[in-house]
Amino acid sequence: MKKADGVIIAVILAVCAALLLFSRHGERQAAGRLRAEIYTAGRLTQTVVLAEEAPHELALAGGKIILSVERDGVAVSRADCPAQTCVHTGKITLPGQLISCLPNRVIVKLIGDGGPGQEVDIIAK
Amino acid sequence: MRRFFYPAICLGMLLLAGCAALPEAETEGRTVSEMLDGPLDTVSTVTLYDWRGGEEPIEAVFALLYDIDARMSAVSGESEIAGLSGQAGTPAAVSGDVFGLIEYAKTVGAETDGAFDITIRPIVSLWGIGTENARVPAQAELDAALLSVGYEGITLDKAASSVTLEKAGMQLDLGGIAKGYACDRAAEILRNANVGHGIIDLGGNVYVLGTKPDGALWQVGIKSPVVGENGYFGVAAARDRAVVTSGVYERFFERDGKRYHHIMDPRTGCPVDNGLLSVTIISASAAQADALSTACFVLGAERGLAYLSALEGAEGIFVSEDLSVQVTPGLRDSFRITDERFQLVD
Repeated sequence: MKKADGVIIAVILAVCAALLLFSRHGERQAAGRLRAEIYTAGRLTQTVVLAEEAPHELALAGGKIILSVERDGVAVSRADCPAQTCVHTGKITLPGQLISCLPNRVIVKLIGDGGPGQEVDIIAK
Repeated sequence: MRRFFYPAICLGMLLLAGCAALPEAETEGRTVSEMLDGPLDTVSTVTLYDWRGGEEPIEAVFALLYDIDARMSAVSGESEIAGLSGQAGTPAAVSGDVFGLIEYAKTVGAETDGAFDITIRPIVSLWGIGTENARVPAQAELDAALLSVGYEGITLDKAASSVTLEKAGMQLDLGGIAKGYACDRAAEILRNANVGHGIIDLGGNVYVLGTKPDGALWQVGIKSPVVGENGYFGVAAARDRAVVTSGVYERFFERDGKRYHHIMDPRTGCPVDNGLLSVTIISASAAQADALSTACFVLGAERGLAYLSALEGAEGIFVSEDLSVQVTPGLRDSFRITDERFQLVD
């Protein structure tokens, strides 16, 4: 084996190790990720992976509901309905929790990924 | 030839490492989740984890929920259950699973000295809790309604698959058991479709199927029974188990400073007032967990725990108003309290 072979082997081994490390890191990051699923009139209209989002607001049901999206949960900050049930629900942060606005037929629910990053996978109630 | 040998091996390794680093979606299954709002008066969610197939199993579960709702609803005039009302003394044929469920409900009624009673509907209607007509009925009204309550008044004929309500004004309500039954049937559908990891959530009645994708037990949070709180106070680790809770926080109304919740004592016709905030049952059978969460709430902590200890496979978590928590011995290793305001007691 020539010296040049050794250098090439070392470089390629380093690239392999980096690739494997990168993929494991990706798995760890994926663990415990929450996603918010938004249903309008019974149909899934939008999915938001919370960890990938900078805090922002989403207008739902033609602007009748404003959903605040943060990395650890979502809340309805404003709604045009009289009962304000969805606003009073507050921020939801756990898998299985949902916010429901019956008058506007909007339901937002959180789903866990079944990974080890969450303390709970679902709430029984 | 030799000069290509080492580079060739290295190239092979690079390819292997590259494959291992491919994005998740190409090497692993997906998390598939669908929600349905309507059947059984609730929001149902089915989630499949690490799933490589299509959405057919979820669609089959949702079709099942519509079917069970259509046949077992206490309010829909078309349902088999609603059809029994007002037919006192006349046998009415019902489908096999409805018959089986009524038979099981009657057994639980007998075993719990009437703490669980699917003939409670006249009382539930009087109070109207959870509707805009909620009110505190007069004692005379309750006394009159109680004459139509009592599971002993249900006569079953297995050969004819028929049900007879013996007393005038009797009505059946499978609300305390139908969601659990639906959970069991849904789990069966998913299992038959070779789903290895899933969660069925029928309005908070939860069934965890198999294990998590990494083989670990599912971590099921038990909702805090303190009114107004959305979080959980403890976590149960489980696989292939239903987790069902009955609690005062679910539906209630307040009148003259007093809170009236929806869990009725079939013997008094009034909301149960025994110091409990919630009872959670964990069982391989969701129908059992559903029925027993109500039954044990009505029985109270002492009698409920004694009843569960005599049963195979059903475990319970009882939370009292002082936030003390009692559990059956089978949960000592798999249940932990995560909210320090709650205290485990013997």
